[in-house]
Amino acid sequence: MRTDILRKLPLLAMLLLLVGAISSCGGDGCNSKTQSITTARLYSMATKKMIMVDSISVYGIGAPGDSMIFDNAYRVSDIPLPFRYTANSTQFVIHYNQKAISHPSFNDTLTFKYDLVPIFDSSECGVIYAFDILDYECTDNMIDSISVPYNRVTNLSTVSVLLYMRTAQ
Amino acid sequence: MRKTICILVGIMVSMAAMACYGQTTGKRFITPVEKSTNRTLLPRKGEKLEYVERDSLVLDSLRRDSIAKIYPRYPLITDVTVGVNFWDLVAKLFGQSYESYDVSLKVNMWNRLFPALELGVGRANSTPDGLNYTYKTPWSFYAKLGADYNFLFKSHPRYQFFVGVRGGYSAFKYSITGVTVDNGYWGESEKLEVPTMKSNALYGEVVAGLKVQLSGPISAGWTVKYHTVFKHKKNGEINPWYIPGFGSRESSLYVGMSVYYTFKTSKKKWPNIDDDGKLIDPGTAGHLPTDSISTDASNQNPGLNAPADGQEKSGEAVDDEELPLKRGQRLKVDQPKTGIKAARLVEEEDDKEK
Repeated sequence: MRTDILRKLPLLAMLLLLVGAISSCGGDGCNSKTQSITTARLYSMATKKMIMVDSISVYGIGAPGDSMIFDNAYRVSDIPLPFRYTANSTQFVIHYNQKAISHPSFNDTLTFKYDLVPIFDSSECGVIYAFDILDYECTDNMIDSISVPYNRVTNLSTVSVLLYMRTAQ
Repeated sequence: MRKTICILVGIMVSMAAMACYGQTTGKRFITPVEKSTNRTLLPRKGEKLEYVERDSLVLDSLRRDSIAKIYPRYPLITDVTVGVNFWDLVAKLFGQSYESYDVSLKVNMWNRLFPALELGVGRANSTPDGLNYTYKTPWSFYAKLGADYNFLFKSHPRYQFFVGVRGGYSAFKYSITGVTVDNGYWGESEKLEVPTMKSNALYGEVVAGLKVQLSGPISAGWTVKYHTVFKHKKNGEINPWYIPGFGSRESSLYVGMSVYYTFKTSKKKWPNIDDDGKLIDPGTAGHLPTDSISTDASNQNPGLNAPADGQEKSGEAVDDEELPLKRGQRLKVDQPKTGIKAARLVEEEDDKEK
């Protein structure tokens, strides 16, 4: 009995080190986004179905270097809307590049007011900001209405804003 | 994938431990004289150890035709063990950014059950590579209470393979500092500090491990723990990552390595056996030789057999007809030199009998 255990001790010690190494290993990395980004999806007001829009440009008001989120993009159905961290509201402009409605007077402006909430849930994702949307509004040129079904936006959120566009049948 | 590896390793560890334990099996066993294995086979106070009930041995064991070594019956409190868990000193070499150390107290009850108490401290200081924060927990206390079951209770207490459960609790503080949150589109970089927050956690563990004597009262052992958090206090959206005594909240496996010092509480009362299972102190509860068919006179230890009521108490063989013996086997009652009667089951040897 004693001899058997002593013979098996090196194997058991190796298994222990293996288990210890595995348990001490780092994880698989952050499995979700490291940033909370609001995503707006386009729907047809007439059919209530998701649509894709051609020739559309989107930018944030006050973005450095007038950087664009979309610049005359084609087949756009989802629009990412990154909120600012240094303010409690952010505005975005949707410009339609189609010839008949390319005038700036047809642009739509989206305004969101929110609270920033720091979140720490996973050591591998670190600290991220979540947004609790308090209020929202939009102009009604090409957008018929806006809907925000879930007011909290986190790094796990997918679609947070629904934009219903005026479209022909 | 990681979970799968952890499960496979746990199975390998269990199989290695069971293989070690399995070395003790493979022999035939008899029914012990006392059905309750925790009762000491000592005479009543004031009486000399002369006879012990033979009936179950003669009838039950012979009926079943199985012979085995009777293991010693340990007293209620056999010894008390104090241990120190220092595994996290080793784990830090593998990059672990937290540490816990505890002192354990275990009471050996019948060499089977080991109630355990663990008291310890733990802390964390983690700045993960490529991430935007530093997580800190100062030294905080934790306590665990539970019990282990020793599967090697038939063997000497110096070798133990045990499985047990623990319940743990810890109250601690934590803070997250040096947080930097970047917003690429807007070109913003926001710095924030999460102030020190208080929390507490209640958790449970299932433990498996080995303990092996090194020298004298010094032993060493290791444990593998599978644990889960039952409840912990949240502070808004800032959850604690490290729980003292538990480790990372995101990991379900934990390892411990300890050194132990054993204090024996009752030397005389429990039997002392050697590695072959023979009694060193025959004044305590006795047992049959390992092979009860053996005719080796040196195996005449104080026996556990006594004549049944109404039979001769000394020097006479029992009729074959009275006992359900196997063909060719004869039960003979001898008078050992110690004055305590013992019974041996011997094979009939025609020449010797003649």
